[in-house]
Amino acid sequence: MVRLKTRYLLFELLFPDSLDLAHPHESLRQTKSKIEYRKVADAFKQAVLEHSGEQGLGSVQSSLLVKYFSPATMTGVLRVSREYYRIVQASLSYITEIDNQRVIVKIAKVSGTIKKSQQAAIAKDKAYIDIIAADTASTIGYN
Amino acid sequence: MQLGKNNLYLSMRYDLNVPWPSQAAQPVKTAQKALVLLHELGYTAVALNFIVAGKLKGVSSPFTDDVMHELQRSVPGVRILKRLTLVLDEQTQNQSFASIVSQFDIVAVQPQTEKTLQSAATALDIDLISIDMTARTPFYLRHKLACAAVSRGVRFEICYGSSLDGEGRRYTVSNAIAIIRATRGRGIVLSSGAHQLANFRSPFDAINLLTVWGLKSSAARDAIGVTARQAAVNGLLRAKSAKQAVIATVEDAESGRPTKVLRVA
Repeated sequence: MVRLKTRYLLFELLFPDSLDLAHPHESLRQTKSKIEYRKVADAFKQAVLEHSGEQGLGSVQSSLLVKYFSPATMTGVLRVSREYYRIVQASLSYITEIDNQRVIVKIAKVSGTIKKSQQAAIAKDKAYIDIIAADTASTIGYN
Repeated sequence: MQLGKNNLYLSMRYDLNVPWPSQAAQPVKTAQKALVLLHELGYTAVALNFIVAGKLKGVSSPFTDDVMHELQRSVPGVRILKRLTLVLDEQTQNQSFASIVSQFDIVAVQPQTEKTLQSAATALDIDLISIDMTARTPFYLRHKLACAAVSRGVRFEICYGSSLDGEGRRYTVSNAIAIIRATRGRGIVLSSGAHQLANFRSPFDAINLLTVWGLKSSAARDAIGVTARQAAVNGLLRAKSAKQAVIATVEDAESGRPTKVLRVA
């Protein structure tokens, strides 16, 4: 029996409206109202339908699933079948709004196993923490 | 793993079209926001695009030293380039071309008619041909003409920014496909051309969009990397070399540091 081949897209949501020049890292990931799992999953599905139509959604529907989403870091993992991941990625790029907030969906990593995307997410968060820590240290006078 | 060449190219990500917000109340502040966002998304070099439609006479560059200094301060790690785009609808503008061009790093032309496209592709000393992505092109892009331009070292630009506003998407995709077909996938530069912050995308997503529109993935990757860099270097050579052949020092397009190139031919 042949296994179902999938791709896991590690995504990030960035909110350009809240961009603050002094703290770009934190401010881009801050939202006005809370965005949770359900809204993201619905928005993604809607985007695929809008961009690639019924045919497109039909081809990925069985595999399309938001496996993980953390509102704290605005990071998540989306599962999609391997044949169609490019179409799905393009559909996500076309998203400009989620829950009436302007948003940029950034795909940080495409991987074949969920473990690798988890590792990438952890590495990315570590890098951000370092940047934010350095940022804070310079603002309060330690450097 | 290949070293050297490949690694260098993978680290370069260019966005050669960030429209200069001349209408905004605080153009410098608005441009700063765009630069910070692009840096955050992973770009290493950005060209600010000053668009001139109509007469060139009396137009001066908004990129004064003070402005550039201020912009550079907000994103120290990003190379900022100055770009001029001329919207050409007749041939008469060409006289005052040379004087203003020297103030910019990259010169692009947006042809509005078949005739200006012809001269941009075959005659004018430019780096980029930028086609208006938001409307139907008034001319048919012929393969022969496009290839003449590409083999002469002029690149074609595809802007993805307009594909993110509902109505523009159809034309953007159709124009992008037309450019890919006419050039057979060669000499294509991908840039944002986004008028608002929400329309910028990360390099990886932009490459994917271009792949979905039908370009080979290797050429799509080059469209924000190698090919875009070539366009930028072309511009540097125009501004700083003698007859594009001999040059004392050339600044590295990435870091802005002079590299010791004594002869480029």
